[in-house]
Amino acid sequence: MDNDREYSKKQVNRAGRCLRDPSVLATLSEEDWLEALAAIEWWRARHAKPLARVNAGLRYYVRKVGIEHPEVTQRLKRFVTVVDKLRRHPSMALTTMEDIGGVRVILPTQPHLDAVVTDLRSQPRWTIRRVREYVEGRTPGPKDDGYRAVHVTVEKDGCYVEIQLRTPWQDSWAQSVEQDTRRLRAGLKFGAGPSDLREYYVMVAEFFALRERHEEPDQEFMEQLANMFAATRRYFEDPREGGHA
Amino acid sequence: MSPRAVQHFLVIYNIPEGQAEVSPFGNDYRAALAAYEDAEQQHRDDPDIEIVLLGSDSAATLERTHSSYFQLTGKHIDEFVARELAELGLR
Repeated sequence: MDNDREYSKKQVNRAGRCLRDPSVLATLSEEDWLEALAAIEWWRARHAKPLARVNAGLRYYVRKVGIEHPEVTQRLKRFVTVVDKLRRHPSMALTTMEDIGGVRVILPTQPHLDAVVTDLRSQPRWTIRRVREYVEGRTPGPKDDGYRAVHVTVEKDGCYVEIQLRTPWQDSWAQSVEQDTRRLRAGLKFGAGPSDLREYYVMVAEFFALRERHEEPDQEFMEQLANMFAATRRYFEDPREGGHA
Repeated sequence: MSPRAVQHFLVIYNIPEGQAEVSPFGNDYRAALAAYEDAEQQHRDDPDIEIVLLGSDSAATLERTHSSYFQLTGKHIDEFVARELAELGLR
């Protein structure tokens, strides 16, 4: 593989189309397959520098809201999840995928999180492409699976970087679902998996959101949660129950 | 922290074992990227292995921001719910 070679966006998008469609993939020669692979890896690697700039720059804004030790980490999307995402979104061009480079920030409370986002929005040196607030009363609101966070997509050096800002409550929920998605191989993150387990997670997300706002859930809510808890024990006692749904 | 000071870590997570192997690359992102691509190619057809390249100021920070690769014992939401329900006498 020629590490110094550069590719145009057109070539990168063509490579993405080749890998997205299994019927096209099956017709590729060994040489074309390696070329497509190289173009995608080059595009992903191109995100490394802008990603590090966003990672480092964000720490300043996190400190501004009074956090002495910012919890900020960048991640470069896995090759297999890049391809999976292309397959889930057939009309998406690879160069418009917003989360090849991602930065996660954990902040103590929703007001801390909102203050950082407001500050970023007011800075001309940050090119904000999109803000999605997966939080009650905001746009678009929590995801159907219960996920809560604020995502800010910025443009840096010709690449998009997605910043995920979460409170510890939101993050605990997301990390647990992420771990169970792997452990049960159930695709929970992508709306798959057993429906009772998914409903349980949605309810736990609501429970956490209430707790975060210092609101007490009513008796009916807690009884329903207890029923769902009891109904989903088998997934935690025997991981094979989750299946490859 | 300057962008060049970002510390890179390759995480190779064994799903059935629930164990993460973390390789530090310091601020050498080129070496980290090369190792990422090599590891992905090596494990491309292995559904039991998940590989990810993370960057932060320290390994301790990424254990907090990406805790799903590390031990969630006592922190998993299901354990929290179990404790809350027990306190209310609902389980």
